[in-house]
Formats: sequence, C-alpha cells, structure tokens
Amino acid sequence: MGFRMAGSIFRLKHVSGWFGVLAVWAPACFAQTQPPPSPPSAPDVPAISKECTTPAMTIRGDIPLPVVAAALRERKAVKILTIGGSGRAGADPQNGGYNAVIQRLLETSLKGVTISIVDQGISGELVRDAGERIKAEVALNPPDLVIWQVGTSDAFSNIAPEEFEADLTETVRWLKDHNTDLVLIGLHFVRNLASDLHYQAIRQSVNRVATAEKVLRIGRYEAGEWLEKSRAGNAPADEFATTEAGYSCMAEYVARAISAAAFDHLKPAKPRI
Amino acid sequence: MGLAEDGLTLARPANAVDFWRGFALVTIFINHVPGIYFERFTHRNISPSDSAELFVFLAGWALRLSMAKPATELPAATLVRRLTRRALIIYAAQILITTIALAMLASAARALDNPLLLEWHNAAAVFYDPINAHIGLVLLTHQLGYFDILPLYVTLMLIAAPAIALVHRSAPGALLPASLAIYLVTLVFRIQVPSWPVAGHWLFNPLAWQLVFVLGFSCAGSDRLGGWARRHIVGLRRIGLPIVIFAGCVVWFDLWPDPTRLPEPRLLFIGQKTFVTPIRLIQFLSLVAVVPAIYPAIARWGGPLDRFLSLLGRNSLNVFCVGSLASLAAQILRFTARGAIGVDAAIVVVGIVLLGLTAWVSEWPDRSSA
Repeated sequence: MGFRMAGSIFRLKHVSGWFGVLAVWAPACFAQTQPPPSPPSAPDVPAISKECTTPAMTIRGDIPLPVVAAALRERKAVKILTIGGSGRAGADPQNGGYNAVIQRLLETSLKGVTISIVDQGISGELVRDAGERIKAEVALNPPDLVIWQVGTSDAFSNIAPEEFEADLTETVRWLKDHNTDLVLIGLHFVRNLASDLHYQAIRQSVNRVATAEKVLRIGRYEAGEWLEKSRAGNAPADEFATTEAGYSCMAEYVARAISAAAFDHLKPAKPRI
Repeated sequence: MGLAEDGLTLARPANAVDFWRGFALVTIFINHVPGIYFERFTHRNISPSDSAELFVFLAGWALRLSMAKPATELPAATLVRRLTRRALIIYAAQILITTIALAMLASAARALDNPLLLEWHNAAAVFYDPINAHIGLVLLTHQLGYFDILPLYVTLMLIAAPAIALVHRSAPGALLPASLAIYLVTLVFRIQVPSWPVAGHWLFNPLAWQLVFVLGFSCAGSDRLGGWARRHIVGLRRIGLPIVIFAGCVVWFDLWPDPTRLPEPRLLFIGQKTFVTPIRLIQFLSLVAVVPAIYPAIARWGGPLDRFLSLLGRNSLNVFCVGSLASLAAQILRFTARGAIGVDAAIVVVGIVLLGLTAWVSEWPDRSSA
C-alpha cells in the first residue's frame, strides 16, 4: 500500500521530509513553462513558498487573463468561479481548503482588491455536464475567471477522448466568446495510471485544447511525474501525502499564475524565506 | 418510500404508479454510471427532465395515497409522528449507504493503490477533513455525488410532508399556491441550501423541488388539481405532446438558447436541475400527461415487464439503496476494467437482476406469511 488512508491528515503534519520531496514538484507544474527571457516587472505577483519551488521555477506570461487584468486595473472585485472538483480537497482543509488558500494569496498580493471565489465544484462531474453548468453560472452570476479542474472524472468514467475533447473545446470557446477568462487545471499524476492508455489520452486532450485555444493550463500531472522521476531508486513515497501536499503547492501556483497572467508580465519565482 | 412501506397492501398487483417508479429506479441506476454505453438509451437524452423528477413526483403521489386510507382519520399528531418515523427510516438508509459507499471508495483506493479514488464523488472531505465532514454527513450538509437524492427526500418527508398533510386537511386549496409561491421566491432570489464543510450548495434544492413533490401529491387525488387533470386529460395530452416533441428536439439537437441572452430573472428561463426550473417542470408535467397513455398497452402486452418494474416500484427504498451502491460498484469496475460494451452490458444485466432480487427479498416475509 503506497499511501495512508483516513485520519492521516494529522500525522501528515509531522511527516518529515516531504517538504523536501515537494521541492522537485514545482518545476513541472506549469506544462507550458519555458525559461522566459523577460526581466521581472510585476512586483505584485506572489512568490512561491520555499517548499514548492526550485530556482528553475518560472511562469509563462504570454497567456494573459485580460478580463481579470481589467478588473484589477479598475480595482474592483475579482469574481472567480471554481468548478470541476472539490475546492476543499487537500490544502489546509480546516481553513477553507484549496480555494481559501488561493483567495488568501491573491488578496495578499493584490492589495486593495477583493477576491470572491464561488465554488460550484461537483466532484465526479463530467466535462459535458460541467460545460452546461458553467454556461448557466456565467449567465446567472458572471465571473471574471473560471478555474476548471478537468479530465480526471472523464478518464475514470471511460469517456471517449474525442468526445471529451470536443466538449471541452466547445465550452472553452464559449467562455472566450463571453468575455470570461479561464484557467484549466489538468489531471493528477498517479503512478499506477502512468501506463493507463485512456487516462493518458484524456490528459493529452486537455493539453491539446489548452494549446490550440491558448488557455492557461496548470499541469499537475507533469509535476507529479517530475516528482516520480526524482525519487527513482528510493523507497516508494507516500502517495496520499504527495497528493495532499500537491494541493497546497497547486493553490500557490494558481494564485501566482493568475497574478502573472493578469498583469501580462513575467517574473521568475523567488523562494519565500 | 415504497407504497408497501407506507402502509398499503403488500404485493399488490402491478399498477401504473409502481410500474413508473420501477422505471425511474432502473433509469436512475443506469444514469448513475456516467459514461456507460447504455445511458444513451435513457429518456434524458430526449428530455430536459430526467428520472429524478419522476422519482420525487411519485413520492408525493405515494404520500397522498397513504393519506387516502381510513388511517388518515388519525389525529394530526399521530399522522405527523408517522411521517416523521418514515423520514427517519429514509435518513437511516441514507447514512447507511453513504457509509458503505465511502468504504467502497476507500477499499478500491487501497486495492488499486490509487489515492484519487478517495477524492471521487465529493468523498475527499471525509478523508482530508474528517472531523467536519462527519458532522456534515450526519447533518446531510455533506453529500456524495450520486448519493444526493435521499437527503432531498428526507428533507421533504421531515419538513414538507407534515406541513403538506396538515395544510391539506385544514386548507386544501392553499397547498399548491403556497408551494408555488415558495418555488418562485426561491428562483427569483436564487435562494440555495448551502453544503458544508465543502463550499457549494445542494444539488437538489429542496425549496424548489418541494413543488414537484406537492404536484405529485396534488395530482394523486381525485379532487382539485388531480380531478381537473383527469377530467381534461385528453386536452392536456394534446397540449403536452407538442411540448414533449419540441423539448426532445431541443435536447437531441442541442438547440438550447444562449443563457446569457435570456431575460431576467434568468432562472425562470434556463434549464437547471438544482432549481428544477420551469422549462424542466413544464416538460416533465407534459411527459406525465402524455407517456402514461402507453401503460394500458404495456399492461396488456408486456406482462412480465409490467410485473417486474412494479415489483421494483413497490419496494423502492430498498431498491434505490441497492441500486445506488451497485452503480458506484459499476463505476469502479468500469474504471478498473476499462470497460468495453461487453462490460457495460454485463453491468446493466447484473445490476437489474440485483434490483429485482432486492425487491423479491423485500417481499419475502410477506409471501412466507401468506
């Protein structure tokens, strides 16, 4: 058994060494990451914590979030809709979970701006159903940005990759047409699914859509894969701990990506000391 | 939830209400295995509404039938006590199947060495935030995906059913207008029931869905709405049939209008399950008017089918619970086996046999004593 089960959250706080393991998680977290040539120019972009970053950690800034940027310029509230998974999964659940971490980081870095996050995540929801719900939510309570955790449920449910890709593309284009920014969060990395053809096909579909539609994608699969490679030859890691810790870092990456892309600036990550 | 469990005669002959309840249970089982090949043959592919509306509507219908017996001459306090007892049985069933579902997900995660299974269907909070999540499970504010209909039914039976029963006795004419008013206020002001500890809302908003329950209750009677509908059933079918066909075309050809271009308050014009919005409701009522017309033919020519689905419908709580767990098991199996159509076919066959077996066993004591 490679991971621990219920109740391990308390023990996890005392697990030594996993912060170190996480240090290798970060570089692969942005699938579209390339070493940027531009100098730093966005002082408000939040830094990545030490345990989630490496010196090579950078964020690509050529996929802007114009709607969020406009909201920031006008110093009005930025409204974020999260969809596709449980916002309370991992990442400090006692204090609101993953979404609350994103909110705190953004409000700290974007001083004077009120960040409101509406969580309409339904765990297990397929892209085809989430797409319809996103449209309804945009009509009822228009957000500036949608953060969409996408793909895992479709992969688990054996949805045909071409059908998945078509549904995802349709919703991504609809959001663009309706003046709403989007951040896609890709599939998780799990060792046993590395050779699962269907899981990999869905993952590639997310990548293709993000690239073709020029949508910011945060690639947590690549992050996990990087981690796996880094520990080759070592004893099997605690996957549950890795998954939970991954949420903490992922919240930081999302916050940073939003700030960076919204400002349309590049800035190398700096460890928070 | 079954009429039998509500106090009517056990193992009564097949009838339309039990038949359609059984139909709803089978389609809920199939639709709760997302991605399964056979979901394309359920009526939600040509209908904005799905089996959830039918399930809740017939639950209201069953409540009315149970009150139509001489037992309804009971004092109001006794009636409320009986309804509360019934709600507690459903509540216990919800807690039981949720607990088993969590154990199934945890077992699968262990067996497959895959922590993601712990996060499937909103289970993550139970494993990441167990203290709050367990409180939420007991309070029904935390619900697993596909295990979210019974909390609605518990709420309706615990709060709405006694109110409905008492209003029906004292001021029957006020029941439907009051229910409609609550529904409209809920939609216009977008009142939602929050979930906790996971941020979000109930998938089935009881403030909106109570109208479906009340409509079922009202239509089951021979007076007022029920009596009026029976007297004008031919005309209602003439109106309902074009609506059913038109809505079917909208769903099949994806002709939904852009929701951002609809007038305010938009919830009154878009199709949304949480609020069982008017589009769904009107189409569902049309379906209720039109489709039962085929039941006499089914009863005449499809005897085994009629008897089987009626058997399921008579024991709907037990069948629903087993069906919910079977659908989760099927999801795990499909994930493990990376199911082809053969796997999906086996799931449907075994699942339906299991539902039938559950209903058969549920009536066993009654058969033994007969």
